[in-house]
Amino acid sequence: MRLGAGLEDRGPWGYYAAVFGFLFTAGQAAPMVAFVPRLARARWHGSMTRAAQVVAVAGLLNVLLFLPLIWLVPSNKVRTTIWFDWPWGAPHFFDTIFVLMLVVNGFAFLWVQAIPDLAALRVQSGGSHRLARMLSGSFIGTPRQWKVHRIGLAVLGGCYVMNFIFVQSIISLDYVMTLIPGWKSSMFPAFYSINGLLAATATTIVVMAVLRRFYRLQTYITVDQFWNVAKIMLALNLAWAYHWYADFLTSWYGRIPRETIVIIDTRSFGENTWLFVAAFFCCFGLPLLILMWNPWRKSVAGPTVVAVLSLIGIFIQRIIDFVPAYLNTQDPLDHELHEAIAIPWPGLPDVLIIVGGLAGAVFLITWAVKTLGPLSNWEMQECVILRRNVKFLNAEVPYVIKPQ
Amino acid sequence: MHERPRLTPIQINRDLLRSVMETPMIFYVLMLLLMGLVGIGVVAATLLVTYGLGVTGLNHPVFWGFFIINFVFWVGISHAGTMISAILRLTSAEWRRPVVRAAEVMTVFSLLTAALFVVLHTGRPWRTLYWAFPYDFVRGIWPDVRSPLVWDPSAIFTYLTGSILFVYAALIPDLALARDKTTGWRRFVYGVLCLGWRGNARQWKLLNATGLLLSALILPVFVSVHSIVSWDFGMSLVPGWHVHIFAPYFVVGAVLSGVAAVIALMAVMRSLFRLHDYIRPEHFDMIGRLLAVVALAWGYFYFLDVVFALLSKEEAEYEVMKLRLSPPYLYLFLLMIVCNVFLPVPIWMFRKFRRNIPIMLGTALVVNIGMWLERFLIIIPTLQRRHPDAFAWGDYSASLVEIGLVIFSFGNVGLLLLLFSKIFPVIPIWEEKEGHIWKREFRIGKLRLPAIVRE
Repeated sequence: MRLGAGLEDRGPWGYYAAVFGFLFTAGQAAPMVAFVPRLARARWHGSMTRAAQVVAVAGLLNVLLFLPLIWLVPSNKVRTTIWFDWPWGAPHFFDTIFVLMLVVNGFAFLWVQAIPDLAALRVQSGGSHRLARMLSGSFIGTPRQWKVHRIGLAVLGGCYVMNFIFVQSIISLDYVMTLIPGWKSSMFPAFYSINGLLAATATTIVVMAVLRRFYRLQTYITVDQFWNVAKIMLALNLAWAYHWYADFLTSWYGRIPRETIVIIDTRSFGENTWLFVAAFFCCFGLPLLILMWNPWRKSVAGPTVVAVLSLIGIFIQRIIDFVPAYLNTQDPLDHELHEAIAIPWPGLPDVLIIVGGLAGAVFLITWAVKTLGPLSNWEMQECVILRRNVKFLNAEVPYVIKPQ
Repeated sequence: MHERPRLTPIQINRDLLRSVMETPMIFYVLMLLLMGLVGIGVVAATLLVTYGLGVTGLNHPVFWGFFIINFVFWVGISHAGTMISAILRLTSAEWRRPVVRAAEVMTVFSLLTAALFVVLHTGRPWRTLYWAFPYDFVRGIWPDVRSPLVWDPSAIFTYLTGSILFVYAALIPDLALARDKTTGWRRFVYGVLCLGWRGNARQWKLLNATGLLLSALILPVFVSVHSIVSWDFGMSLVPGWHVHIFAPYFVVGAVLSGVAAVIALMAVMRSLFRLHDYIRPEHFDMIGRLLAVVALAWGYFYFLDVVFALLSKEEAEYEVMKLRLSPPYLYLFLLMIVCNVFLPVPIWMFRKFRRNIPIMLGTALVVNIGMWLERFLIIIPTLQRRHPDAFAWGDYSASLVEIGLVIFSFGNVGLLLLLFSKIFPVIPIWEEKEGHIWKREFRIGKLRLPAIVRE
């Protein structure tokens, strides 16, 4: 329906862009949650790694959703972008490359992480599992292969984190900020990336909860994983509020019209107050009230509820980000926005796009879980080997072995 | 931790109380040296209060020079204490044990030094009392609580109070130990300070709860302090300062400089107090990893700051950034970027270098040079172009008095740390013993591997 209406008018594509923004944030961010605990050598991550990494397959949908946007946004000749006067290919060509790069990096990370499990599947199936045979190569678990595997995971994970922050910043600038005249907030790319990190933990928790429930993995995905990821999520909920507040306060104090009309009147307390309030409570208020209590933090339900709330909040935030940018009819080169932009209710095509986008992402993730399995077996086994319970006086104390 | 040697409680007591019980010659030499540096500052401050701000290089329109640069720098350094202690305590990082106290104490002394510069930059400090007191409440004039300059002292003194409590609470068991190991008036003083600590189960429980509670409470203060310092600049409309990213950017910068300063302090302590068994290469390794991430985050925020000044198409913003990126400031800018990111980060990527203590000390010092330059570049070029159309009376160059006060600040923090080490153990003895109690080794295959308790 949207494509039928053509790509001349950006206005109706606002919700479509918001869905892309949300899936690109929530889907592409989750693999980082698999990397960071591994980097910190936390031994609770084994059973959540697959749940976090498997979300990367939603990147396929993101690439498809991204295609119309390439034609929708104007070139850098008619707006001020960070590409300045770059002579060729900016922003469309390079942005496409960056989006593809992140998706490929996510797939590579998922694949490398899954190699030992695929190799086990290959052996167990007697070589008849064609996909496992193809993807696991000649992995048989020699010390050298494990070493290379570990280095590969470290390099791909490190690249993924930097890549994610970079690509999110670029997308936030080229596909949101520079479409609105006068909006030049250096906080926005960082805030957009913080949203991504929050979405990463929230998505991971939701996927973990679903896998735990439907695959009956209560023995493997325990409260321990939820508790530890919930701590990170609480920190990110607080960081979300902090970044928003710093941006808001600087504008509120400055009272510069070209700042306030966007940051306050359009994005916070103005035309779209209720949307902002909903995002604020979902991303900060309610999570803080729930997760500040250890019994709720140390449960399955508490972090899952907060994760769902956070994802709803981030989706609303993406609507606040993208829809006004696409509804703006002023010349992006104008000095300032003359009037705050009100976000309309979504129409039927928008609702269908939202539902279809989310369903597509869920479908891809389900397919990937079916193919690769819900747990990373080798990491689970490693975590079991590296944990011991020792009797100490009258208590039993859990120990974690930390190899070099 | 992997390299922790087997030590008995008696050995730990002896090693970690050595700086309190013995006074080697090097202590006096260092003390004289640091007192000399402080003396330079005393002379400079005397000249300042005698002759006023005329002895400094401050002029129109650059009214904030080295004083405020030093203020921001030392507030930044003070962030190490909370970063190391509170966050690492909350995340149960095992490697925190030998570094927490030095970091916490550095927080206190850095904050005191920072506060001193706010007083000094008024020229003749007693005159500030005339401006502030008696406050004209009768005519309905009240302090403007909306001003960041009011938030600043509130935040700093809250942080200072919290940090002192933080240091003191963790000191109590060690003070009790010192009480038991000393005689005479020292025993009396330690006895009073340790508040009757006997080490029973209830006291330990209370101490642990206090540590966790203070860690959680001080974290928001830690973030707010440097955010508010950044808003001293950001809330104004001065081009180059009215920057949205300033709050998180200042906080990350403060953590970078503060943790780098902790590395330098660790290296010095290890050598000076012969703490090789306690401050080991693996600690530098862990802290180096942390710093690599922080330095990259700082680079990201700085990139946003620069790009948006150029992107904004606001003439005044653009002019300020252009000035920062033109000679002579360009050289300082390049030096800063090299010092903060391009030199240390590649070094910290390699485990071999992270475990090399002289290299870590060198990179830590380089980072702090870079961070001092960063504050210089935020303040001086911006003030020179504060009003684009105004007549500028000349560039800023620091006078000897200001340079003397910079030297003083380093000497002052160093001297206070040295005196602290003479009175109190610089490594928390009880935490170190706790680490030894929890230490275990397990056999996996042919290897014996170290393990830590999951706290």
